[in-house]
Amino acid sequence: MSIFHISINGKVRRVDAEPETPMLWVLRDELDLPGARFGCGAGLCGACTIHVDGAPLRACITPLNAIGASKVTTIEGLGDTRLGRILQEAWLAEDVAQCGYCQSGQLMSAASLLAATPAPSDEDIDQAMSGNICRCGAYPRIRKAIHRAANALRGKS
Amino acid sequence: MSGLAVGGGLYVAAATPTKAQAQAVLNAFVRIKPDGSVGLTLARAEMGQGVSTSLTMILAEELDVPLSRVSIEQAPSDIARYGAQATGGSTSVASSYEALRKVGAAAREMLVAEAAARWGVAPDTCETRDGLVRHPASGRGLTYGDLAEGAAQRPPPPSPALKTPDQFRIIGKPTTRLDGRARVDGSVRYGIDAAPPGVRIALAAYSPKFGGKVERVDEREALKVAGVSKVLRLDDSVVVIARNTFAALKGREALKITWTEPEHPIDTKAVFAALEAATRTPGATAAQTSGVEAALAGGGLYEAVYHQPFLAHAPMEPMNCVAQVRADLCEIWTGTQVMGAAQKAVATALSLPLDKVVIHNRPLGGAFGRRLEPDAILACVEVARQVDHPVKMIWTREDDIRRDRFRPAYVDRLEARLDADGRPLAWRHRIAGSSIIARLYPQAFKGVDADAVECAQNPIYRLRERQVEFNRVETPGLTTSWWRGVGALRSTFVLESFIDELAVKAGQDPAAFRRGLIDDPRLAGVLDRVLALMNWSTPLPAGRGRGLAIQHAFKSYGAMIVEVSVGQGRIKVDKVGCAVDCGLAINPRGVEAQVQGGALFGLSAALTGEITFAEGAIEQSNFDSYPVMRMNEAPSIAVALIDSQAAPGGLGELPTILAAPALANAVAAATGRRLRRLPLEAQL
Repeated sequence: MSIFHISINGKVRRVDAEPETPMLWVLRDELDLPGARFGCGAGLCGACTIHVDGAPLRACITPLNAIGASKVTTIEGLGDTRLGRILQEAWLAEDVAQCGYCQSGQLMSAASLLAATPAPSDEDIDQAMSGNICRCGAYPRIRKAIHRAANALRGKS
Repeated sequence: MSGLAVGGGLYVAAATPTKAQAQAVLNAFVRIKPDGSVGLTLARAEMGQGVSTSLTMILAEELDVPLSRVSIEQAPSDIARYGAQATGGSTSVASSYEALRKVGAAAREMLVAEAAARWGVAPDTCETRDGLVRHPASGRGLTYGDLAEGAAQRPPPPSPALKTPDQFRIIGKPTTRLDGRARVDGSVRYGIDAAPPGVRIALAAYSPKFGGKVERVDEREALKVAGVSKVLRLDDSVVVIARNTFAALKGREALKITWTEPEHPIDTKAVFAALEAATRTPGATAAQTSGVEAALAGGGLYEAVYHQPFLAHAPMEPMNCVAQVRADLCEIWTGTQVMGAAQKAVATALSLPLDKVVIHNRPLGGAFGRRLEPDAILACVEVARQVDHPVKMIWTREDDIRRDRFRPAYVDRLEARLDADGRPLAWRHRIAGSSIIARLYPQAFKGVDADAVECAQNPIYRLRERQVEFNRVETPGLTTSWWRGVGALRSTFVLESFIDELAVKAGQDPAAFRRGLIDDPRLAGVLDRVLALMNWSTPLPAGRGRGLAIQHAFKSYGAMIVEVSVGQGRIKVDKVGCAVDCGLAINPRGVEAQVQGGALFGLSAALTGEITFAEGAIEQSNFDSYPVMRMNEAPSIAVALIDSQAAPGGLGELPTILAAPALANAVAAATGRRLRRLPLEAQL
């Protein structure tokens, strides 16, 4: 076991864990941040997506010792930014979630997309979101919600 | 109807808790609290279908309270009070609609009676709105909270007056999910998130070959992994218990296990050979008209054989359960579609009285029928009884797919003869496959699986003479189970493919051909609507095609058109249109979500879904080898909802059953090739 100090959602958290522990289990088992979901354990479904210095990474294949001084954001911290709040409101307005299990990851991927591409095309959305599986089939509403959020970001409603 | 004053509020139950009524699916229990807020106890599982929203809407409508005043409370496991507490078969709204309306109306009448008595006026001079009883003539008003305790002393009306549809202010209005926010900020807690104090993580290692058992295990290396506290040897698995998930994963990897060869190594080719052979011999009769033998005897039959694979459910939340077993109490945290059955099964396994098994049911991270089986709960309890702390058993995605209870594989053989005008004169349909009913309800099984022949026994089409048979064929060692769409799913693929083939054979337009063979005006209604929605009669360029499927199932009617482009070994679904008549739609927004999601779920399976066995080993394990539909493959889906005042029908599965045949028919239209084996992409 080793002691790490990592920045998560704007706070420095102390973690005592094996260095190669995937961030997913650090968040879920050690830090009481279960919003990142376990879906595949192999970087195939995106349910565990977190931001590491803004980049969307799969927490299930990102080890604790790779974080270093980077800033980690999880779904629990998404609402701390204007972009995050706009996305969450768009998700609610479009009634995106069905079971909701994948939606933490969907929102985190969408936030990274909009941060880099404020007015994404459908192709941009396909590119950025195809790593996130939704078995309920909320894809049409995810697409609409991303466009809605993009409009809201630009001050259109 | 019963009223009850407990803890300073008005309680109304839909049924007094007698056994007969508990079985009548009257699962509502409503409490009006002194502050005027309303608690609705939900004995159904929320698994993404939006049932907590639609049931709240029904209650709030008759009770005359704003939706925001109603909060959902998940029912505790209590068969006596809430019945079986099962959620499946697209029944929740259809079976709760009348009961919940009566509960709301009864509570409203009791509140009005209490207010009228206090004011000394006639009840029919009072009105209700937004949680208030008002007496317009005198301008007086009281809140439901003010009246709840007094109203609770009054006898519940035996047959409260219900609103007429023109009085509806909530039912039928597009409404946003009431439980949406917790799903966008990460705060919703599924079964897998339960963490009672002292909980440890359990992971089981299973034989790579289905049905293999533990012969030898060397756990020394596993026990050296920091955080691993115990290794348990069970009959078919070895379980590692650890302080956290990562230690449990590493401990499981470090196990050295020798497995026995399975008694019956399953092989997909052999399974289908057995199924196909069974369609060549007569089965148990599900339907037979008197002249069918003579009508079939003349030869010249058109024949088609269809294959459908084993399917995994793969909900995004893998199977899991948290359990703590003490001498006199078992507590369980999980998400299940069958709380009542799970409670019973655990009580039996532990020899505990029913009321000593407490299940805390959480929202389900997807289910699709998988969580109708209590196997993961029982597996966890088996481990938890051997330790003195709570255990969270997690199935990794590989476990979830390989330990699934698969949708059965089926082979169907259809034969028909048409008259000169293309009308079916004779029809024979033989179904071969596993019987889920025979496993679960052996007493009820008399040779025909009522689920497997759903929709096939009495097809929607006018068929002059027909014979429908079922041949039960089990794969030794394999447990099959329910999958979204159930029997209607398997039957609709073959029926709607075959009718399309017959239309081609008759030289008729597939839509016109169907239109000529149906009588039900509601079915004709959805058919006509979807044809208009998708511009059926406009031609498409080469390589593209449209396919149609219609069905009446789950007390609802649906018609779907899928438009595809086919090329380079891939099928691209360009767009989908679906018309549904589900009777009165409680929440049209929820209907649209279910139609879109249900269609994509069905398309995903029809394109690539398949579980296969080779020499006993399952060849799929995660989303790389068991691919599911992703954003870049998802078409747009136009939904047309027929305006109807008929009793509400089910909707979560109807679009799913239409997807595969509409897709196969579209591929046939685009390429001229008829694919009779699912999944379709493997056949290109």
